[in-house]
Amino acid sequence: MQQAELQAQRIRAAMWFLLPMIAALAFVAAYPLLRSIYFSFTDTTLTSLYTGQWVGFDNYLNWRTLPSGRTIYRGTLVDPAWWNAVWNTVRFAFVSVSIEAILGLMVALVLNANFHGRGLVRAAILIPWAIPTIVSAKMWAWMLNDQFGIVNDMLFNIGLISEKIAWTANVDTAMWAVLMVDIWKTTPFMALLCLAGLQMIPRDVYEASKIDGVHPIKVFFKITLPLVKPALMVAIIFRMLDALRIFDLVYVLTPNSAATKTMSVISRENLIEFDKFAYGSAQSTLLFLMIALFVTLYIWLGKVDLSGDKQ
Amino acid sequence: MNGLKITNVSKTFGKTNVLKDINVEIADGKFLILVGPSGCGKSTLLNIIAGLETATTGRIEIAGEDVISRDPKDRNIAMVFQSYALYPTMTVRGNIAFGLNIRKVPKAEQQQIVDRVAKMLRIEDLLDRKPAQLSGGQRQRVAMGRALARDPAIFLFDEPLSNLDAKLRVDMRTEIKELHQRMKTTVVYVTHDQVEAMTLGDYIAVMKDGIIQQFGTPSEIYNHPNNMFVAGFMGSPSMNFIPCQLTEVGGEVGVYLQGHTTRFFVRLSQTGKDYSRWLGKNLMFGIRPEHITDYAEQVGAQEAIPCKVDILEPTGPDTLLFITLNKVKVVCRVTPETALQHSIDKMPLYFNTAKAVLFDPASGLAI
Ligand SMILES: Nc1ncnc2c1ncn2[C@@H]1O[C@H](COP(=O)(O)OP(=O)(O)O)[C@@H](O)[C@H]1O
Ligand SMILES: [Mg+2]
Repeated sequence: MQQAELQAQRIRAAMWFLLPMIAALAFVAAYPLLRSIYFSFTDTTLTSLYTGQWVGFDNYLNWRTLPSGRTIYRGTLVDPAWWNAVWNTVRFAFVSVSIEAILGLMVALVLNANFHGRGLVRAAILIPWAIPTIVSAKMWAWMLNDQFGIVNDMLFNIGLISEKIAWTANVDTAMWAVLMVDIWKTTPFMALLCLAGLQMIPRDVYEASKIDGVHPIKVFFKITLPLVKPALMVAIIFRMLDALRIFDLVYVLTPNSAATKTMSVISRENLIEFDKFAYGSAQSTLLFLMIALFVTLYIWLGKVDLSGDKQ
Repeated sequence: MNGLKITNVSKTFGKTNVLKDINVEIADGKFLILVGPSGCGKSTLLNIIAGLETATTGRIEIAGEDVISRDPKDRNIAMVFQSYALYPTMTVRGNIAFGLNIRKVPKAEQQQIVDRVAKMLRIEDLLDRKPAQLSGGQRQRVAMGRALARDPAIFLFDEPLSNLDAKLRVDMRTEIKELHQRMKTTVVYVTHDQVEAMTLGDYIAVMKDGIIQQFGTPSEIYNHPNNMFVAGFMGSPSMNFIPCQLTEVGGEVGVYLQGHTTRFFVRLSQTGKDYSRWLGKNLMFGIRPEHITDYAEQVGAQEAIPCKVDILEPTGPDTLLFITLNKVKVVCRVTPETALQHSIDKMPLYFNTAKAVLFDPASGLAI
């Protein structure tokens, strides 16, 4: 009886502690999210923010049958620009995160070794990550500029290219430019998370493997990799979330390029520039759903994997 | 054939001299203990034997072969680590077989070895578990199993029992001793626990500050310590050191001891040593608790001295008495019956001076 009372009291106390947090989250996360989901079911425009009418799923998909018998489909789900953005985003996310994970792990392995000036190198490698994205995007935009960019200049001078390339404007190279800058910027973050994982591995396991005479490559795949996997998984999910909603780098480095336009970029375009506020909201909502689906899948698959490990 | 020969091994880390000119040699099949306080260089020496560290100078021979320039895997050793160092992602079976696998032992033979080792250590039921699912004691067994599977020229143990609880530690100690008696493989065993050292070792090397203070059999180390450090480190409670002056009374060399109320003379003729050079000098009189006792027959003809007891600590089999002699606290060990029979103010105690050791307080060396 008294125990139940005590328990209830504890729960009440916990509630009070949680309340400010829940209120803040409701205000800055839940409310905007629900509101933009709501907008996506209306015909709201920038000029009529509070007078939009409920239109159901029309922003996602609607069709009209013409007198001639032809049916016309409209809405985000049949918008080629949207699917182009989806494809761009997914391609960007998978390529960048994969390369960042591999490079990050390699850098972490190097940083985990004992050498002179290790502390300095560890600090130095974080610099790209510490620079604000807008700044580094602008910086790279200049360096990649076709007229006076240093990259073109160097490649040209050593004879690798015969004419200067507009890396960020060219449809064939724009995505690569974005990928390269993102990898340059984010690999340190990956490396740091992996390094934290590596440092959790007890040293004597490696000593045991030396006495057993295990080849270093086998040591990596049999001992190191399984042990950093949990840290790596967390790092990958963080990066994946970031990559799927990438906006700033693309917006600054390759403005208005269809080759790189991502879901975030295109929904902002509709929301603000094209005055299709509801349409942009629908795209934002779809982006939200995709990320939620991805995270759920990842955690679910990851869990299966992890529990397999612990057996 | 020698099992292990360490010649002039030194090791420096940067500017610190961690090991200073270590020389040890033991015959094949012997059990060598490296004992000493934390930080004295035991693990470093073991790692040099294993090849995990390189010696700054010196040579290592294992089973008669110079191994100093060989990789750990080519030294024919097996090692048990303090924190076990099991491969976390492999099962117990995988852990035990991994070394065999790497050495390309045929699968059928691997299976046989794993089964034999598992049976020996009674871990057959655990073979399919992962290390995370084992208790400390079980992990310890698996770590031993991994070493035993290899049948090496020498086993290296780095404080293998120090993470176990007291009871398990005593059990495993006995088991390790049994295993060694059965397998007759050379063992080097690092510990900071003097009881483990005394019970397990054929030979003990007592280390301090990177120097071997004394090397010998357990009884040599215990009964004839080279210096005050060894005398104080081995034995629990440790040896009493009483400051005194060497005197001659009626042709007998000995020391005067002053209690709370009594002052008496203790003869040292029974130690059989010639102390004439030290007459009149200030010395340390070293005597172990069990040699100030009530076991009259063990002590010989000496008469009992009534002493005032400050504190009385029953430990079960014996009772420890704390008395004061020459202004220092002295521990004695008597039977619980004696402690109860006599008055605290006049406890009759016999001094077994045959086992006493005198030290030069300036150098700390035994005389
Ligand atoms: N890699 C290293 N670098 C610098 N000093 C070390 C290193 N390894 C051990 N030491 C030092 O060497 C001394 C002996 O260490 P160790 O052999 O581990 O002692 P023990 O095993 O007897 O406790 C300690 O003072 C320790 O700080
Ligand atoms: Mg140690």
